[in-house]
Amino acid sequence: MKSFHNQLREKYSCILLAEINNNPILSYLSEDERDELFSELSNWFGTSPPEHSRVKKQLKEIITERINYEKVKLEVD
Amino acid sequence: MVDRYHLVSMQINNFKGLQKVELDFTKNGKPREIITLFGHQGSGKSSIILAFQWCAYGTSNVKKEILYRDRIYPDYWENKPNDVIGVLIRFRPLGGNSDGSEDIYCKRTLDPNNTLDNLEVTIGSDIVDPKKSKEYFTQIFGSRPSQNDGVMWVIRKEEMRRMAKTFANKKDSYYLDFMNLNVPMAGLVELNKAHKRKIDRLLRKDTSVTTDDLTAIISKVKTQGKVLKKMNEKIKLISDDPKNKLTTDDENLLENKENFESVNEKLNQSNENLKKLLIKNDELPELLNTLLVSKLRTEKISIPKSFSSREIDWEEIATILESMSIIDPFVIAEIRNIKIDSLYNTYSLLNSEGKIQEWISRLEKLKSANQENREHRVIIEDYKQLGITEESTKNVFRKKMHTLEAQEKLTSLKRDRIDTRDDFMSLRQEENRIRSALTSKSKSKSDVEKHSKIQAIIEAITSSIEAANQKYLKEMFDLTLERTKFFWKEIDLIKKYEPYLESEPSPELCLLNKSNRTIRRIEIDSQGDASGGESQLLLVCTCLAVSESSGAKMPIILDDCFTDVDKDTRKKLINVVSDQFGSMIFVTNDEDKAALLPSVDKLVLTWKDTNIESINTDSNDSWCRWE
Repeated sequence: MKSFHNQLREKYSCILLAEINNNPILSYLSEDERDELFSELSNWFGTSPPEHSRVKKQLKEIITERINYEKVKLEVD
Repeated sequence: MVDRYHLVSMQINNFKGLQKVELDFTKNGKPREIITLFGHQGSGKSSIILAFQWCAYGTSNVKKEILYRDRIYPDYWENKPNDVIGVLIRFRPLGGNSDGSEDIYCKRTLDPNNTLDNLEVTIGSDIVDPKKSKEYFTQIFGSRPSQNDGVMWVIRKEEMRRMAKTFANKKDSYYLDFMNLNVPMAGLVELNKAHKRKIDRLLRKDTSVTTDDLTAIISKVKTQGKVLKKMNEKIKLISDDPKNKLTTDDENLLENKENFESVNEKLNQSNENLKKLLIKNDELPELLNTLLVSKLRTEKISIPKSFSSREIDWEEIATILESMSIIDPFVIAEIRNIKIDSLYNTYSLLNSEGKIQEWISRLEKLKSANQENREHRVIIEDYKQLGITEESTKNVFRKKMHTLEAQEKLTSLKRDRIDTRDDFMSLRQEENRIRSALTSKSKSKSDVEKHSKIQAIIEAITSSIEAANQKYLKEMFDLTLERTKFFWKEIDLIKKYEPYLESEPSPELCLLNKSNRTIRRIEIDSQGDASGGESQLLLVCTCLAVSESSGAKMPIILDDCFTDVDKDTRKKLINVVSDQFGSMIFVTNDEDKAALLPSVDKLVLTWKDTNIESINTDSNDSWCRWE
């Protein structure tokens, strides 16, 4: 039986993943890249409070190194 | 699956201020549905609640948490742990055998010499293996919450406050804390700021330079380059032109020019002089007469008025005159041809007598001038042999003048070329600066694009999380709302309001006036228009709804959490909780509140000094001991 917290986290995961997949900017990324992004975020679900600098470092790494941000198309004024 | 558990008893050893406590929650061998813990400030009520909490979830490794190891050590140890900390809770399943054969004993101990807690579950008299023990703990207490999750089955002011903030749409959300994304969100915000700063810095760089500037400066450089090139060509042309250079011969000519001109001048003068002194034809008779007179005088011959020319040796005279080289040879020839027999008019002879000296002087001058003229001619002839002539010296002089003019022009051109070259170099430098700025700008542009893309992703992730948070909250609010409405309906006596989820601008739990459909917001931080009692009751109902859905089977503990709720509503609340959750513990330091429920099975515990005293009239049990 899933614990209450796990049920909540599952529910939240579904919503967050849908939001990531539906985001117009993130849609330039591949599905694998979006999954990796989500996976990184969900790693923090329910853990003890992570160290701020470590989280920032990991986020920076995934955004600038593990996903290809070059694919993003910016609107031209 | 057991729906709920009753509390049977509890033993606490060396936990915070509690050295050895045994609590019996039964009456006549049966678990009580409502247990009221009453005690004054500092009597240990909160420690007992924490003992429940510690038994359920164990020692925390986080220093600031209330169940951190050092914080649960008894004060009397003075930070020198020397005994085992332990809490044992005995549960009986709802409807379980009264002989205790189905009772579950959940025991947690912490040996100060070990770092980990030890869990042990006994059912009846059978000790369950460690893995199963953990499962029983989870089944009864629910899964261990994260730092801010809150304990589902304990409702304190802290939990209510968190719930209030959650429903007032504050960032501190009870539900969202399960997701633990506050730190990543903060990290994303910081990353976003960092990239924004980078973009701003890049955009602040030289933005005034454009490719048009480069085109313009290139054109200027080309024009100036052409001017410079033309100047160089002109300078070369002038420098290389032999007309503008004096040869060695020219130099020699120039060197002798002055002397030559001087001699030439003298020659000209002597020519002039000679020309003046030369005897003209019309002077010839006078000269002849003078010479004749002179001869006659020399020979002491008197001059008659007229005489025969026979007496004169014309040949001699002619010879004399010829030797003097002062008379035209034609005249000399004429003299020689004079007919001896011809008569000669002596009148003119007599007149010429007075001019002898004059002619002598003139003839001497003539001779001298002739000599001088001859000398000059010789010199001029010598010069001529050397190629030095009046024409050549004039030509070389003209050439020198032309050369000087060319040199002057060359000097002026070279001076202008210095200025032109300086201008050209300045323009080239400006061109390089613009090229460099454009290159830098191009790099900046690419960097700006890069950081903008990263920023766009960061913002996209942030907005995804925010959108997910909103949707999730809405779902959780909807989910909670139904059960909250149920509890509210069961407990609320006025029936004027009902819990209502306001969805705009963002989900917020409110009270809806059923008759006029107006909304009252939860009173929190002196904001909101619901009364304190209404707000408290709504929050308690919400906590109960969350607690119910948590899956935990532990009795609810209400820790003096509805101080603003009126007496009748409180009674109703306790009854409803007791009904819905099977059993509950009501903790208070207010004697009036402790005596709220005289008609239900209850026990009020008080601690005065070190003795336990029951103030409940229907209990004679001395079921608790405080040592």
